[in-house]
Amino acid sequence: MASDIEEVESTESTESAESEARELADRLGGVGCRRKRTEDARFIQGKGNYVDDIQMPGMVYGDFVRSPHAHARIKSINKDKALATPGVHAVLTAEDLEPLGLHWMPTLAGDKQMVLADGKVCFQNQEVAMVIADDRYLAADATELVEVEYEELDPVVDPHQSMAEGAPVIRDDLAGVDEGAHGKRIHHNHIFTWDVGDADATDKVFSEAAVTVKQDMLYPRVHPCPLETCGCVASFDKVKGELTVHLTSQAPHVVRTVFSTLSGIPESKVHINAPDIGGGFGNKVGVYPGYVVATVASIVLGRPVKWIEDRIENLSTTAFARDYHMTGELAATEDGKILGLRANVLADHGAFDSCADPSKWPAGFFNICTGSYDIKTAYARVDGVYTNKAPGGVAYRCSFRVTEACYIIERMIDVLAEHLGMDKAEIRLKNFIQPEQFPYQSALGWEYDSGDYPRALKQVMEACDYDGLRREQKEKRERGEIMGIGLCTFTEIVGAGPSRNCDILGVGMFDSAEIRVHPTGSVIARMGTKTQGQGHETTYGQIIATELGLPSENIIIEEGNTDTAPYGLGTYGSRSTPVAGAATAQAARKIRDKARKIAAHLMEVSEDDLEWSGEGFRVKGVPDQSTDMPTIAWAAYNNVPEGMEPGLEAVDYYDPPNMTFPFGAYLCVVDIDRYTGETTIRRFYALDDCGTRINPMVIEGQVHGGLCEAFAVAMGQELPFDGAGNIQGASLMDYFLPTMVETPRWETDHTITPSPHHPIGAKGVGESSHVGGIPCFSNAINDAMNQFGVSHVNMPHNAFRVWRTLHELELDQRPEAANVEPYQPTREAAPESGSPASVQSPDKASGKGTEITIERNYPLDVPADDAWEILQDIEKVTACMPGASIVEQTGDTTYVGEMKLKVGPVTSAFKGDIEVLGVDPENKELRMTGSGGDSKGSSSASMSLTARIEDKGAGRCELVGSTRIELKGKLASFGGRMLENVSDRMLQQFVDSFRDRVAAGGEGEQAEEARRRVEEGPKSMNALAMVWQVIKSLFGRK
Amino acid sequence: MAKHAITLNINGQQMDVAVDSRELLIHTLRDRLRLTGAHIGCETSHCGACTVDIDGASVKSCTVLALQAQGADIRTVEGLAGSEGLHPIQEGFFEEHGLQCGFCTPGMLLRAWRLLQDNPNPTEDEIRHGMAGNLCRCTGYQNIIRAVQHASEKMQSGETAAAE
Repeated sequence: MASDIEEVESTESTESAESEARELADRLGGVGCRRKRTEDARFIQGKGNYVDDIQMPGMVYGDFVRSPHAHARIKSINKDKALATPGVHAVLTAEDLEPLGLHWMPTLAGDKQMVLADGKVCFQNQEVAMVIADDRYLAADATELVEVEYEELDPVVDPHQSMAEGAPVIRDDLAGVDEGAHGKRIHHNHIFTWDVGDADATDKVFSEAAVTVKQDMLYPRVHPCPLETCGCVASFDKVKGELTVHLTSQAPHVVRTVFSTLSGIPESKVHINAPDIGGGFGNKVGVYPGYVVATVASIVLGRPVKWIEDRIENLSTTAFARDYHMTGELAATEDGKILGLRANVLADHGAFDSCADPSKWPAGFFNICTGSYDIKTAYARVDGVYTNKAPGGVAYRCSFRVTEACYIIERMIDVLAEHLGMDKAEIRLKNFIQPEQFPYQSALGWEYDSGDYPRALKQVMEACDYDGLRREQKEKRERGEIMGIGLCTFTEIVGAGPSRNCDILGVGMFDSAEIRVHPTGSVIARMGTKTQGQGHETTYGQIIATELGLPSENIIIEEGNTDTAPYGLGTYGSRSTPVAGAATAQAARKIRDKARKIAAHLMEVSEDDLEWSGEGFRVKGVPDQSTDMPTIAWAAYNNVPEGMEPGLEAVDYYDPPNMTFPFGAYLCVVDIDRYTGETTIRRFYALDDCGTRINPMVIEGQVHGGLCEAFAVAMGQELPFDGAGNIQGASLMDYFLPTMVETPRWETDHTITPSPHHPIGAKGVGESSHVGGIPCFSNAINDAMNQFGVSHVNMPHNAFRVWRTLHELELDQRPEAANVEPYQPTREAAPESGSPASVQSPDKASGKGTEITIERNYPLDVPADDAWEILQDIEKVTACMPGASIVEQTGDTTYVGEMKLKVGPVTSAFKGDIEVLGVDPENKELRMTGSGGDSKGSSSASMSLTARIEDKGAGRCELVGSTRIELKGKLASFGGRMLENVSDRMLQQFVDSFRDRVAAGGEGEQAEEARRRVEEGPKSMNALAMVWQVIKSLFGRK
Repeated sequence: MAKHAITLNINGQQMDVAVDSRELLIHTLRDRLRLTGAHIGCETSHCGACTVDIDGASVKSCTVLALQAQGADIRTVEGLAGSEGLHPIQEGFFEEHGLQCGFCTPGMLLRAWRLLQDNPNPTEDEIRHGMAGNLCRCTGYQNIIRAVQHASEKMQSGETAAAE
């Protein structure tokens, strides 16, 4: 009885202590309160300071000449024309960088990468030369004037073909190098083989297990695509010999070390400043050629040089993510207890291994792939290979390769459940690591710090009425409706990391905080991390407010300037809170220790008699006798105990004892339209456990953002390539960034399981929802498909791909469909605009570029004979295209054509050979082929065209055209939708001109009007520079 | 290259500026007039980071030549706050955590401003459709929608108060 009473009392006192702490946190703006963000004031008033906002006197602009080919030898580069252009200051090539040893640079992964193409190019859009000019328009113009002659080589596009016998050699520089940064290389396109776990024991488990399942899955190549692209302003002061670079970096201190090492300038004379960053998500961890070349240009010219990527450059050259071709296997008992895991991965690293992982981890922390489950035996192996694609391999809103690991285990557990006919929640509950097993040693080498997985999943199941959802799914299935329920119970590994096994280029992955308390009790603190939207200026302030009992509104947080901030490894892999957040708490505690001594001195008591009150110190048992932190701060500058040095500040470099392991349980409900594949996300419920919650408002914002990016990846993002290595869809025309319309509504929830080794128990949360969200969406789609016997479909689950699966399953057949004649478009019935152009990317092994097939018919109000007369006259036909002309006739049926354009910022000339294959007067049909490229070889195309005039009687006819175009180079990279759209408009303009030209041959007012228009020539189109690139070249190849 | 003298009425202030014929308005605003609030996030008119208001319509200023804006009334994020303090839309974004990295924010604010001029009391669905031309990579949009709703309520209660 007595003990019961005690317990009630203790609960009450705990509750009252908690409410007191909450009240104090609210008052101070400390840990746990929903403090509004301090950084917002400048952003909502347009006063942010991003790299492209920086202007300096005498600043010039750099722009890249890039490779149109995925794989080619460079025969020559001629920069004379560019250099002769007024306003152009320099054109830098590898030859110019070589004397400085800067034509190559080391990568974070122990490989090296060309800064500018050194004799060959290894991926499309690779940096070949940089033009420096007075403004960005002149620089763009001049890149068109640099003439590069290429000799095309066979590309390696499919990583499965990469290590084939006789596969093209991508890296000539590695000839004879059979020892890589991560062990033996067994093929010229092999980078590393990394494995972990007990292979033999795993084989044994698999051979003995009652049940095994195996599934191939592709985690496609995607890109973090922050809204702000990468860029820099480099400024070298020749007098002082000092270099200042403002750049978009998530890790400015490491960049300083790299720049100093590369340039030979002492690190003290290299000033790196990362100002406001417009989102990073892993894209801004690495050092890119643009930074290096702009810096060299500044050193050469003695002027500030700005280089800012455009979106296509961003998506196609800096930092892809994922591209893991995975095979997962699970061994289990018949009742669903998992006994073993095997994971094999083929990793496509592109042409240079510039993965942003800690040095000793070539596949990051992929060995977290046992997930939240107690799997005693496991083996994982990753083979990294070179292909002719852009380098990267960054952690897109996740810790190193954790998203891939989470995807394989969360998909595999569903595959196993499906195989066993078990419920997907039940199998998870059966295999979870139990709360009492923490700290838990995983089969692949990690020590999980803390977790309560069953509680998290049960809470979600209850909140969403999981059983009810399953019942509904069954009922719907019977009615022919398709619904899917996705679960994901993930464990992340973040906060890299202990310097005993984590370093970047030899620098241990600690992080730092320096805190100064001013005499009046306000504070300035600086960290080695760098916020890109996470809200560090707000949340670090909250940690300090709670630790020091000072109001956060008077605490300033600064990051990103390497001159002022202490050295740290930066912000990525959710490491800010686990590492720099810990450093912040530790530095504050050092200050508090000193404050205690000062307080004892002021109050003339022993230190041991004092206790922390939350805002200062009080004498134990005598609450009235207290002193607050502002008083102590003042005393620190004028009244310290004898022997103590004045001031109140501290620095802490925190080397974490372990990673932190945030986790969560997510549930997603999707409804799929069986006829179109359109998916509606009906519900997304996310429960996260990130340990101690510093600012719930910021946490929810981080979770929302991560979920939205998870939605993007699962449902639409990919960077595909055609067989020639042309990147398809590297603009926002094709690369999926969800808008508000598609984005689902998010429901968030949480549990709190503090990290036992973190000073304030926090684990990090910025990436959890991206890591856990992706498999949850994918599991929901797959859950829907499972009902029809499909075990796995790959991401992205866009409407077309979902429809294709449904179509293969014949689920898109309406009962009445059998009675309907399939629609066959006929030429007569087609409207003037014709059917849409079809764009195809042939399979990667074919070596072909992107093909576009266009079939059109256009009614003309002129007699067929008149139209035919013009159609036979190639010079007149050509004149219907703006800026095009026949330069010379080289044979009876062969011509050289040219296309000159000067529109917007771009001037360019295309040249090509045209051959008339046949003129058939009877059918009024013309067949021709053409092939050509632009003068600097950035794009090439070949085309075959058939055009026919069909007599419609009554002085009317129809122009029927069909063309097949194969594109290579820059143009092909604009992707399907763009090309389709532009070719439609272009054709329309051509036909308008053609119609005028035919009509001009007639009599009367209309003919007069047409003659006038013909004389004026086709109007030039007003469009964006990029659209123009496409248009001019579509014309140019004819 | 010969420059053209144009006059822009930006945030109620007449500004004379010499521009190239091919110059995009966003570059004039950012590089010549140093109004760096509006940003450039793509070159295909998808992201909306460059959104400003021109003569009563939201316009992506990366797709407009500066010359085309001759004589136009332009509002940018720098002109949102008045002498009495932040505009309710700015307040909404602050109160509801409607921004993270801040890069899309000026465009979002200007689009929200025009949306609420045209439709003072939009439903959630109307906000989602009305602001679909502005992309955000950080927030997952939910708090942006709340921010616009916050502003809508505030502006209407402000009007009611003024009417009373």
